[in-house]
Amino acid sequence: MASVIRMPEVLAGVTEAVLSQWMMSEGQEVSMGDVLAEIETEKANVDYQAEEEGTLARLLVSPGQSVEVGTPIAVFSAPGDSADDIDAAVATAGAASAPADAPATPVAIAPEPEVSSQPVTDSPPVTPGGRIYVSPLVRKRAREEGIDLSLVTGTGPGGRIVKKDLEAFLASG
Amino acid sequence: MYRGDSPTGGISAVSTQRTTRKKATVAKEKKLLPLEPWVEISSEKSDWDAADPQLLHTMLVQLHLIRAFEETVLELAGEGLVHGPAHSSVGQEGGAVGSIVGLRASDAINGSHRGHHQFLAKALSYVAPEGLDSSAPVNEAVQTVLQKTLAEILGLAQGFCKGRGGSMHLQWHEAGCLGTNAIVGGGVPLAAGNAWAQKHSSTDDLTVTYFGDGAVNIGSVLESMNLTAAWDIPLVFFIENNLYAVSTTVEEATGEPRLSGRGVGFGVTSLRVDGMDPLAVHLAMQKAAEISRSGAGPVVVEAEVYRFFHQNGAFPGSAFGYRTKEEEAAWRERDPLLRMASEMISRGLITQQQVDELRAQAQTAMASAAAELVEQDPDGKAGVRRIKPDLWPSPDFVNVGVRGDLVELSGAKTLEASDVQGGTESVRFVDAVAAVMDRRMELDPRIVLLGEDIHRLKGGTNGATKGLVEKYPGRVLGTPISENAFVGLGGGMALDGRFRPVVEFMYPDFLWVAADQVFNQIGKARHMFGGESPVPLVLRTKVAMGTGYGSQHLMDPAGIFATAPGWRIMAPSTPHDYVGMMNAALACEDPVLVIEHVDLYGGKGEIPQGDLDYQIPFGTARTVREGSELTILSYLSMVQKSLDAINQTGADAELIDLRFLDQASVDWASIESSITKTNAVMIVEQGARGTSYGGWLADEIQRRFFDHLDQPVLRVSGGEASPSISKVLEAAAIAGVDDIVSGIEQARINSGGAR
Repeated sequence: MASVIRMPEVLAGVTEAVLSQWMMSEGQEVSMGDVLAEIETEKANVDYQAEEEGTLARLLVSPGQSVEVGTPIAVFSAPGDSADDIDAAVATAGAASAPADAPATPVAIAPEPEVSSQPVTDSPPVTPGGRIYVSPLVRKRAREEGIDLSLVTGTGPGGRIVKKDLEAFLASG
Repeated sequence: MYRGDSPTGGISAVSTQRTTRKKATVAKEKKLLPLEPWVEISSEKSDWDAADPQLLHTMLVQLHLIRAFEETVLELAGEGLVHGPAHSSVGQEGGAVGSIVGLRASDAINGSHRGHHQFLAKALSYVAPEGLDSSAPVNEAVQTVLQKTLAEILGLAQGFCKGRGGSMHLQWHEAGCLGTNAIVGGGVPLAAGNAWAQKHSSTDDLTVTYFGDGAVNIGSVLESMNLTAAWDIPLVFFIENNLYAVSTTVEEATGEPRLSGRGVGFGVTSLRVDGMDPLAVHLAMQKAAEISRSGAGPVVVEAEVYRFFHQNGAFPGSAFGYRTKEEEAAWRERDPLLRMASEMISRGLITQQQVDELRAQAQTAMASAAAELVEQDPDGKAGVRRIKPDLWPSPDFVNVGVRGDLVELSGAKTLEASDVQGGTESVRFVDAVAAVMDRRMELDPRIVLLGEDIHRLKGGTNGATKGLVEKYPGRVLGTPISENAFVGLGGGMALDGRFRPVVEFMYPDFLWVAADQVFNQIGKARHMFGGESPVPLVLRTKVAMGTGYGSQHLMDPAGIFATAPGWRIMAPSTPHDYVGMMNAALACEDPVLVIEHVDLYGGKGEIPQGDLDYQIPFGTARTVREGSELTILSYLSMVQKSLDAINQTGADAELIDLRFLDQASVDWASIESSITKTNAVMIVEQGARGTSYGGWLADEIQRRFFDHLDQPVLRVSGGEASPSISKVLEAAAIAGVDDIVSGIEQARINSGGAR
């Protein structure tokens, strides 16, 4: 029965690899341990050895192609297999029916979303003299109590309005 | 063959290829010999003839089950279904099966990243104590072990560690599988601790720790050989020498490639055996066990094995170019499965057909184990499998079991200094340290102390263990200078559960020396193995800033330990709190760091008269002084210094002694109520900025209490540099009262000036 050879996980965590070179060609008899192909990952180049015997009936991936681990890359046939058997194996495995050298489907690239250059903020508007510096506590209380902070004088570092200033402002009524 | 081997295969005492230099002077020489034997053990025909057929059948079955298991793992890995590496043991099964088949259920093992074979051998021996039948190798218990182990490797909830551990952290305590380890050599000190516990629990059980050739050069392994030999601990160091550490050869990595030679230098009996011969390994292990069980201490066993594949994955090493196909083919001819089968066939114990049937049954068992866990991917191409989605752990499980739930402390008697009703007595801090330990050791025979010089000098270098060695012989253990080994040994004792180790680091900076054991092992063990293994270990150390010990002895360890969520951290500042917090630490099932300070040792404080049994309520801070202007958070000796600074400035500051410092135990309620009152906070600590504690706390405070803050979170700490030995430079490097005064002044400026 024809059997499908898939792209192996060469190293842990490798999800795709490049089949850099076929070392055998269609129609050749393959013995266990024969080097079928050279596979390239980011970490290593390895010789992929046959793990079963048979005739290398069809190559499904062209050299240089990067494919996901688990993708069918070749079909082995056993004595007596017809071309239909091989086609059936390819179809069952869900391999591309296109010839191995078919061009790769172009990948649509989503346009980058436009990024607004306006910062999103709920801070008080910037005054001509510069922004108002306020401690987090005062900012919260001013918001809750509806106080216009442009009327409050800050005595903290850099003129930051701090709790004491707010309390003084409220006391002055 | 090793360099230095004699042609007859014996182990020569010296390397014959080393040329001796011509000596300029003629000095008298006397040949010195190792204290303990160093021998090679092999099986003879007569050993095979004499072997119990049931033993051989059991080994054959285990070999086949493990081989089929590993092939299934590789198959699933090849399909991308094993997340992370799957370090295959195919080829190495003989060493595991041969060494484990003769162990008891109560013996224990641990291992390394390549540990499926040992785990399975121990687990299978545990569920089939009478042996396995090669004509019916798989019963329900065996099938369960196979499936639960495979599930763990796939990271699934039904695995032995609930899917947390995966391929490299396999643990099944009940079966004596202590847990495999992904840090090379990291499991070895833990195994030593388990073996210590076995020896001191009136048993002659032993522990076997498995590691590879790559681990023989790492400190934790060598430190543990030394420590177990010094203390006659029944630990077998089983070196699986598979000739390659990933792709680096043994000969490249060491000048003595006969790795069993490592034991010789430590006075440890050392054996070498062909690991591809399961019976020879069994015989070597029998000898090792006899020595260890007799009380004579550890044994090193080096088994020469070969992994048929690369470090991980289903490709042979030759595919990566670091070894030849011819070498691999030669080793494959020595496959332990073939060796075992052919020896048995030649003795009429089994036929080739029966061996083939055994292999088929093992493969069938694995196919059905896999079928329980994976399925055809409905969205994938035909033949593409996926994990059954409902078998994954829930994402909610991610942090479960980082630490215990403290249920062990519920109902404990607690007592704050402010609530003491009866009389009190004034004691020096350091005497309270020794007194509470004395009291606990008196009532709890599980408590054992470990540390450098703690058994001498009238209570160690500071008197913290004064009087204990005389009162509790065998329970105050002065260790060799090898922090990885002895804190790891403590970790192994804690995981075993029969003892409660209290380890002392003479100086906090030694945490870096022992960092793997402290953080990767002790700190992570409970969570990594599924969340249920308690690790009741107390680590004591003393901050010594001000003593002139310089850059490498004067850190405050709180900040670093706070990054490790498995650790609890306590920092008592008074004798009363020390007693109550040490009592809580010793009752707690989590690892607890108790930080002391040399500045506090000589100071006196009140403790309740005749009561050393109370605890401080866990996770509570102590408000030292109430105030409205600024919250000061501090701990240890900086609490008093903060109080001095408050008095000096006249600030109306609220001073909180945090006491419990780890991220899970910090008293957020007290911090919150103070900050909502003062709207300003300053964290005060003594040590160097880089490793300081306050960073994470400041971050947490600004996120939790942003709208209550009227100014930035302030921090007082030491400087950038570690404190130097020079007195002036040391004082400049660490924070003191003046720095706290400056901090208070800054807080006042930030609040709009003095009121």
